[in-house]
Amino acid sequence: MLGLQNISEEQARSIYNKHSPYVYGIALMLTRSSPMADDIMQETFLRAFQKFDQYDPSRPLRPWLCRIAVNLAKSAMRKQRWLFFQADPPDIGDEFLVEESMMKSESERELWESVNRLSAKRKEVIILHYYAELSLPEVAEALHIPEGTCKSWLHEALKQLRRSQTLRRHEVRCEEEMQ
Amino acid sequence: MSAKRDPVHAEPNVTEQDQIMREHAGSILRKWEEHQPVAPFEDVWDRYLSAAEASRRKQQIRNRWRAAAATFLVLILLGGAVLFSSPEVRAALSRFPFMKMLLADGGFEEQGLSKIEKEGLGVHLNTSVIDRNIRFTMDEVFYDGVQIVLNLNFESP
Repeated sequence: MLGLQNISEEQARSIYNKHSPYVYGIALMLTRSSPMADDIMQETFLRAFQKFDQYDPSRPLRPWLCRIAVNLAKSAMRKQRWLFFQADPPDIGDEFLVEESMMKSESERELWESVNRLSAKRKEVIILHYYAELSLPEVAEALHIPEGTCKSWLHEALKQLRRSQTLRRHEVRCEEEMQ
Repeated sequence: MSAKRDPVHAEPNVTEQDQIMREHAGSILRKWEEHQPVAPFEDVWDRYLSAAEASRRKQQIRNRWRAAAATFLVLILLGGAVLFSSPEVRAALSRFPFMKMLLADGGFEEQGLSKIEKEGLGVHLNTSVIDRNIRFTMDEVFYDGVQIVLNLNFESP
């Protein structure tokens, strides 16, 4: 019987309870939409349970879940962009508030804004490496890119973030001096 | 004389930024761990069970079709063997030009089958399908633009 023999309900429940906030967080960071992140989170676990026989238990589970979530997030965002061209843009509601509520201090929010200003490729590498805590080979695997390319994108992203933060600090100092 | 460092355009310190990112991510990850998923586990598990059941049904239907196709093939082959072995049926069929050629002494031999075999003009496939212990093998195929010759093998226990 397909799927049912692969994972028990208790095993699935334990995996879901332990990793669903993590998967939701990754999806939220990638999509910046809480309804989308919720859909992606559920779909990720549904796929993971269905394909559980393909998971290698000698390896950590999170990179595998993350890879599924990234593929689903990319596909959902492509679909949303297409809908955007076809009809009115979707109502985003309080999506940004949800994500920003996780960042209490001004500096945390500023850094997060800088991350969101990065190009899609650089932002994905930053999110997966730092926030999803994947190693560079795991990020490269999740994004289907060579490891060298991944390293290069990460380096460029960090340089850009550093530059934008330095610029921001410089602007704040100028404003203070003018006052 | 040392050049004054421009804080805006100087080459950024990537290692320092790496550390800042790790601290930022660490604080956010701790907050994520406290987040409760919107959908309860039962919703996802119910969807998984429904999808598995639908997939199982689809597989059953596919198996039935395969069995039906295998049975049909067996009937065709057995029926063909019975028809061709009867002298009355052979006489009746020989009224049709194609069947006459087929039933002629030596069968397809006149059409150059032995030539195809001797000179290795056919393409060897050796492709098999097994269903319910019945093996159907397509050994060789020949096509010269006019006629097609299939060399088939059928084995049942």
